[in-house]
Amino acid sequence: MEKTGIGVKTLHRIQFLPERRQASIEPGKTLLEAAQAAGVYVGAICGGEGTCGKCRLIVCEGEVSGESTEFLTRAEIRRGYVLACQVVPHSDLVVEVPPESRLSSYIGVGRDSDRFRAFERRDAARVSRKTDPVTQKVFLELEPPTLDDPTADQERLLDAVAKRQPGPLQMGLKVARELPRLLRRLDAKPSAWHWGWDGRVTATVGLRREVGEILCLERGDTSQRSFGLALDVGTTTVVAHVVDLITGATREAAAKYNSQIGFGEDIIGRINYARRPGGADALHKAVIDDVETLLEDLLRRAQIGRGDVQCVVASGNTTMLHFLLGLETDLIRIAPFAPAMAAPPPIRAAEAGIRIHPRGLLYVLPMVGSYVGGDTTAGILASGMHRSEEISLLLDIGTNGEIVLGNHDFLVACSASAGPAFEGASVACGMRATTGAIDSVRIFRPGPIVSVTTIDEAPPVGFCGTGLIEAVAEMFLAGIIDRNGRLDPAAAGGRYRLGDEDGRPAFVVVSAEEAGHWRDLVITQSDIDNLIRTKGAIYAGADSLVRSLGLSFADIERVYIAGAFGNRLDVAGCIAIGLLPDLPHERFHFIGNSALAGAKQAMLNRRILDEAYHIRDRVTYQELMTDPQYMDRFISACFLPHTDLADFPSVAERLHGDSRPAVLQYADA
Amino acid sequence: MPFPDFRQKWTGRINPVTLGATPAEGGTRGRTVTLGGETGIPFLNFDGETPHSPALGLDVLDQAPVGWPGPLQEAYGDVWSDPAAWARRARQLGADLINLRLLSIHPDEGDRPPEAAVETVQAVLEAVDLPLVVWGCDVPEKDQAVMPKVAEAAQGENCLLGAATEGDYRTLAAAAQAYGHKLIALAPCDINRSKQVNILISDTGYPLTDLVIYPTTASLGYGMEWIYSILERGRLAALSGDRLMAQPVILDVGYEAWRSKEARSDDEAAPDWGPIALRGPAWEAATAAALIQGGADLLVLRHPRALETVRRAVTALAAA
Repeated sequence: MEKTGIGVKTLHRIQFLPERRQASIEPGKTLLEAAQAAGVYVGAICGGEGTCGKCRLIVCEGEVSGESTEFLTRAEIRRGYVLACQVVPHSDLVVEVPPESRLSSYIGVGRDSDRFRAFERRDAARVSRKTDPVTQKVFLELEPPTLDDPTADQERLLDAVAKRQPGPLQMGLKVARELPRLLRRLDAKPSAWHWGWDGRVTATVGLRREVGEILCLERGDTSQRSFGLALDVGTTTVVAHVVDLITGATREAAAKYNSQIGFGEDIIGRINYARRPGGADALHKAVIDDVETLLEDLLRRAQIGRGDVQCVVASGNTTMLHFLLGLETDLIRIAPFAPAMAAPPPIRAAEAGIRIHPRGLLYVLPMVGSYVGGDTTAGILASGMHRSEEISLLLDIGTNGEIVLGNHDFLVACSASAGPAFEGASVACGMRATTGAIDSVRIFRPGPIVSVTTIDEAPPVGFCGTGLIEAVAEMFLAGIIDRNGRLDPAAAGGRYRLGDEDGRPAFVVVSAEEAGHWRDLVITQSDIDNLIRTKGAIYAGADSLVRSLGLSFADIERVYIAGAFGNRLDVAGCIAIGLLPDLPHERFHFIGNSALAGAKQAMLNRRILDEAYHIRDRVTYQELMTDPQYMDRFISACFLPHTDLADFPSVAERLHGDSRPAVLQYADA
Repeated sequence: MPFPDFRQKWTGRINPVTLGATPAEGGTRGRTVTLGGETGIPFLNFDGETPHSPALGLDVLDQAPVGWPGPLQEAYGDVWSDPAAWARRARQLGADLINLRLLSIHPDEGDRPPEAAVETVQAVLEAVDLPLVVWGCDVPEKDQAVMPKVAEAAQGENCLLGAATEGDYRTLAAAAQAYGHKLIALAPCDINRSKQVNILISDTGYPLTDLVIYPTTASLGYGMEWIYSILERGRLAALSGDRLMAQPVILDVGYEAWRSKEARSDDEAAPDWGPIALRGPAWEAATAAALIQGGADLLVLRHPRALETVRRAVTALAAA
């Protein structure tokens, strides 16, 4: 134990394995706070309320005390498991972060950036290759003033810029102060000052709505060094790309888990946290620090200086963009759901805390409302659905489930508050789509025999969203769960388990022996129930939106699927569980991280940025909660694949001839 | 101006479901009761047919009830410790069916074994020749042990067994199918959930046409209008051709009405409400009379005067 300066308070030193990170904390602070202080990520969906049971740690050495919890089994308690948010250290500790709680904070950059790049290439074909970025460098060779033409430096510069960039211009005092010395070489001697004309400068012009601002001047020609940072601030992941504004090419890409996860896994949890004293600042700082981490890494890898990055274009849901800008978020949570700012003007990035060129601009994509954010605007942009005559449906299958329907004439959107059921976090054996995550499942009868594949072909550790959907779809098609999602013990055979504590059943997909893991990898009844509710919310939202316009799914010519699933989602499985409507597979198009793709398109083309504002103005938001039929549709959709099987003919066919007649079995009393 | 023709053309029909079996049909019942068969909205005889008026059953418990108010005690107190005697009383009072509840098998209510339940059912079958509705105790593990035995013991009698739910339907559906009984599908207050339970049961191979649905019940003053609207919506869906809602409906009016404070409060506690001897039966009858117009095919009642009053209402409506 170490003594503080006053020598009264005793700090506890906590070491976290396997990374050996350390933190010293005051008595009374929880182990979760220690982990946050040490920069160790521990899953805490509920933000430290003790209600999610995800911040599992193993105490190897030392003493702790805390509340008992139903989230740990007796066997786990014997192994030293605790919930980090519920226990307080009483001594120095050595604590192990078990694999299921561990999250390498930096996403495998190689694979993920490649994945994100693939979408960019596909988009490139559709979007004009000619760049007209939001910030541009202009190299100028100005004529020297003469007695015949004694025009002031500032006017001289503006005139020259205006010839290249038509439209109103503005320039701040700070730049004006530097101007004379940038245009001339000053030879200052004690006896006399001599101003020698040079006139060769590069001006950076940033677009502030209709007005161009001369952000900065550099001596000589630097016009080939012009970069922008595209950001997608997701609830779960922050993704950043450095884009060459001259060529339009992405120089480097990086992604990172949103550090705000430690304060709450979903947006409501974080908004609640922001209401605590200092909470809002902590959340703002967390996301700004994430951006800084990504930026630092990108600049190093791309060999670019901070001053060469002149703009940031940020996309994300309304709550995340509010945290990024340090705006009040509480209003997002409460009726009538009016956010602080929906269409932020371009501001200095430095004002938000983002360290690019000190006078560089931050563009935040316009948001439709509290629950349809800049990521949706970006998704519409990236899909191009707003330019097409065909009627398209955009499903952003993330935590918030935004849905947009429309074409070049109309756009309607709703938010289906899907919940985190796909994201691995609230799933018993859930994890994010990283190494060891089960991403594909096949079940064969009789047996049942199960085969799985994992990301990177590593030993299985848990299920990512894709794996969860496939597991449930396969269990359904194999008759292991009924149309209500209830596990049938007889059909599950030897893979049927009764939960340790909650007494609810589970299906063993990979047993501990098969996995080389200390626990069975199971899909529990609660996982299935959550998944059914989540997919029901999304399907019912899309159904309501489609019907509100007098259409049916058959009228939808293209369905764009955006979200963390990327291009690894089994369409047949999604239709089997009724997440996606039963349409020909060729109508489905995965557009991956469309929030980022849209941000990049807006960065590279001023007209597309304008389009984002037009899109925002055109989108009609539909509040599902005031639609009396939504609840009916939701209940109808909370069934596999749906109560109305006629809407899912391909699933009906797959189920046909597979029904198992009732067999009378006497249960023991 | 000629009077416009407001008659509705319906394409659907409520499934006719017959309960009980006479000796000619392999059972021992003196008569059978058929539910459903409607081709229009209840009692709108110009729209469609109502071939079978709503059937009225009386409750019989397998043990002496606890906490039943005075008017019910007066009607059944002398017989209610003997289910067979109670059933005979119900027949004398004019019930169309006996609604037998196996309460004593409940783990907290005596936890009697399957054999005891079988004995009770056999005794009631011998005592009266009316068709029988038999309910378990709503504890899945116990019902799964008891109901197959009961179904087996009553084989051939074409009883109505309750209740299959979304979480517990396999055993009961299999038992009903194996021994030739009809089945109650229970889904509280929601048409979609009701359809889902019907689908789950039908996926086991049990015919949709042998189901009777139970959307739960609420009495006058306690949400009756909600159940009424569910009944009506279900009925309209069925008449429009929805096979999944074409099942006759059973409602448990007596149980719900006698939970209300209007039925239970004695005269001292409610001096302005009129005598308890009339209040409870009136509450029960008023609830039943309203719900039969939404589309109920089998009403389970308790008090003899309620039975009498509802019978009069049904006769009057059917003749109109």
